[in-house]
Amino acid sequence: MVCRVKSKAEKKYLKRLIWAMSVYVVVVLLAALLVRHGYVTGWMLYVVAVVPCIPVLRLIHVLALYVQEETDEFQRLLVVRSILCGGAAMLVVAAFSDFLRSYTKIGELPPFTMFLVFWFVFGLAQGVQGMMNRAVGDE
Amino acid sequence: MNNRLRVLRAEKGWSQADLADRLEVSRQSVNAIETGKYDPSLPLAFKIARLFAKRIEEIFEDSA
Repeated sequence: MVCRVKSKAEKKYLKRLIWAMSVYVVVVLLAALLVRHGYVTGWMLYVVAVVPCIPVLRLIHVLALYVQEETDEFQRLLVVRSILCGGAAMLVVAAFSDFLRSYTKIGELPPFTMFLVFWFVFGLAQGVQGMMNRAVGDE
Repeated sequence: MNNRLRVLRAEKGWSQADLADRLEVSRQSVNAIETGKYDPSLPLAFKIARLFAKRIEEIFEDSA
């Protein structure tokens, strides 16, 4: 297996991504716990629903920072393509679910599906592009 | 766009990794440029030209 040397921007990106993902998971679990045990009711539910959106914004910010800081333009292109793939997949799934719901009253997706779809397809696109552009052997 | 990067690199006896280090890009990027999968931006094309002491059009050739 050929291991690619990570750029300075990529190392920073991975560190930031792990932090942001961890914060997101903790916030989501904490919010779910508070709601489930009835500590939060009424208008406070809106606040609890908004709070996990902050780490989500941070995740997008982390991606934006990487695109801004990466000096290797080809690597930058690969990440931008992956973001587009993730965004496209998320929109397609959302549109399909919305149309299905409006026509048949079924098709409601479980919570957090969109989040998972985006990151799964983003990761998949990164992997596929990595394979397609693999530099095999040092010529 | 066609290019002579692989030939020029071979003349210098550099590996893709050597060239990538000199250009401050990844080896994957050098490979993508050499195989024609990716056309570099103007700043990177100038950097490549400076490194090989050639004009851009001596390295890159418009295939249109």
